[in-house]
Amino acid sequence: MFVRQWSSRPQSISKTHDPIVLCSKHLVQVMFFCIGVTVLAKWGTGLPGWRDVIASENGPIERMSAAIWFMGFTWCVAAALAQRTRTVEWLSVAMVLLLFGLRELDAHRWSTGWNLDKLANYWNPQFPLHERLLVIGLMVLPCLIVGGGLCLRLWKTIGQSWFTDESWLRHLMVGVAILVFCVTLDKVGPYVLPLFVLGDFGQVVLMEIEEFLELVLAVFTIASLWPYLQKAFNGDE
Amino acid sequence: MWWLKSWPCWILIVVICATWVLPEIPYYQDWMPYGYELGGIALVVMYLSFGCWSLGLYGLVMGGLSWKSDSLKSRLVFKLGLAALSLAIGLVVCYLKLMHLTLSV
Repeated sequence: MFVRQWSSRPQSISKTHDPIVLCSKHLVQVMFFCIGVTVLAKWGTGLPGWRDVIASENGPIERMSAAIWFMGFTWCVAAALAQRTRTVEWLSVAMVLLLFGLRELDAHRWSTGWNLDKLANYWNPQFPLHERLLVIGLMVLPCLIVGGGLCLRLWKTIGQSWFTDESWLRHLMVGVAILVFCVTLDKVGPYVLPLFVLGDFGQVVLMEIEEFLELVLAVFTIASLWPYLQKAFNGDE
Repeated sequence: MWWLKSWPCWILIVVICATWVLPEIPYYQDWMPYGYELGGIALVVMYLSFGCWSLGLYGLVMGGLSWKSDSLKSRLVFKLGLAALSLAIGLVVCYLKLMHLTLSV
């Protein structure tokens, strides 16, 4: 069974398998897991259509994605407490996962009344200039400074790992690729899709793909971190 | 044992909580973050509690199972599990208090 492989230590994974093959295999395993829970949610919740399960706001798939990001956050904070030599790295990862979870729940919209990731708002003259500057000064810049500091620390680790050919780098790259694809579908899609004659059904399918891939990304992140979490909880340095 | 050491086992707990438990909890509504003053914070608190339930159960189960083999490591995991479970209960209470507060205004 695929889950048996994830119970092993990261060192043994990188030594016994080709990282690219291993990463592809893990992605397939995560896909199967996500398909499984989606079918389970459709069957278990009794919702009439796949659209209600996958693409609806606050539907089961969106709730699952958010819950898995928050799970990642709590587990990484616990790992930071358990593995004192890697506290900053674990807290950096925890912060990133928390941001993903909050983004999934649209926290920036309901807590501030401002859609942070809708770039068009920043040059929309309908919003007063002082309001836009306040958002940039009090919300965007502090986030960038804190996030930038933590990312620099992570970047150092990534830089070192690049030359030692660590297996998790492939996982990171696949995760970033999924993220870029989802953001493109979500943000660029509404402007580009009308150029193609897809119809309502096609647009719903694309929305479903985007929401499903967001779930895949959340599960893939936890699955990639899993051997390192195990290592942290086992008390290894 | 291998199933307990795998990620699907512990993600499944969170998936079950988000899919079936969340819609059944008191005060929960789809529009909670927008409909209630403290609804958004309460929702985040509840999501965090799901992560703590999963971590707490992991700690108790894994710490308990390896209690005899290596006392120092297993006790650390066990304590972590207990702390996470206590936190999960605290977060649920916090959610209920927040929702009670926002509805009583």
